[in-house]
Amino acid sequence: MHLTRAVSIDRPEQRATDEQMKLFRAFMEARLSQMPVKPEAKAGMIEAALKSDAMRKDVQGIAIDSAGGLIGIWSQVGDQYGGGNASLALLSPSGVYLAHTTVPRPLTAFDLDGGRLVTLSEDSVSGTATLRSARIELPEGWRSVAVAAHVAVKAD
Amino acid sequence: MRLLHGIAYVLDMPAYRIAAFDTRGRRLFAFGREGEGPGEMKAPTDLFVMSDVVGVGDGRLGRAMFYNESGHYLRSLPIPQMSSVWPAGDSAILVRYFQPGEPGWRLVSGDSARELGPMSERGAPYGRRDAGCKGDAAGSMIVLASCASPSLLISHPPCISHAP
Repeated sequence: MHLTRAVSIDRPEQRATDEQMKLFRAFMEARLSQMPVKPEAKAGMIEAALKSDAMRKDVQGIAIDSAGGLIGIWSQVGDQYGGGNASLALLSPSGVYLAHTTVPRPLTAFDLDGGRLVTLSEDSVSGTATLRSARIELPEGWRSVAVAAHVAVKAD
Repeated sequence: MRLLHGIAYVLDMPAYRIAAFDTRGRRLFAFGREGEGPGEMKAPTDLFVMSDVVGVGDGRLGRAMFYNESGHYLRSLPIPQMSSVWPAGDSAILVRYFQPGEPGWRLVSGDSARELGPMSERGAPYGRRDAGCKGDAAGSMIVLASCASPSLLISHPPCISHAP
């Protein structure tokens, strides 16, 4: 395994807020209530989880466009912390940041293929899943530039 | 959800099947069902696409299964103790294992599960919560390790391009 490049995603520590920790506690209690766990053990498990998960992990997934090598990184606050809108960062095949777009809803999945971005989201009440696609317009010569300020993501 | 040649394949875990949609969201077809027979699933977790196949990892059955783009079952690859699986180029897959004391990750042939090369600790996110990995058309592999300081590890394992 030859590592060609390691790119650190520069972002501050994603420490959960007090409100998010309350949501996380409720999430854990609901989850443990469905499991055959003794009541006296639950409190310890919740406290251990709160301690180890105080640092949020918001990066949810990666996709690579097989046609052009464009990399997409999907970030979103996890459901256990209350969820929230998604954001997508686009990087060149060598890891150079190109653009960022905010998706005004939580996603359950996304992928890139043939210059197209497709997202999957689910209505939390009805459970209805929705697939949306968008074209990614890249300027000529985008591979050779370090920063491309004119990348556009347009809904189909 | 993964895209392959303009079709979005969505893993419907509770229904033990994979549904295919066009990019407008129109349902095209679905395949797979619960069971332990060829092409059947017990605990499907990882959906992935390679050059012209759709794959799904099933940790309970300890195998990855492959279907063509129309959903016809092609073959399965036994991978005992697998936890997660991702494509790595067109002919190899990256496997994460449950086994304590064993290397957490291995790069194996997509045909035979033969180990293709060691995964260095630098090249694979040991002990980290991984978020994804996918090979591109050139056979390179990218691993994203999701942790407090996320990093994008871009690797080009030479063994991938020589895999049978």
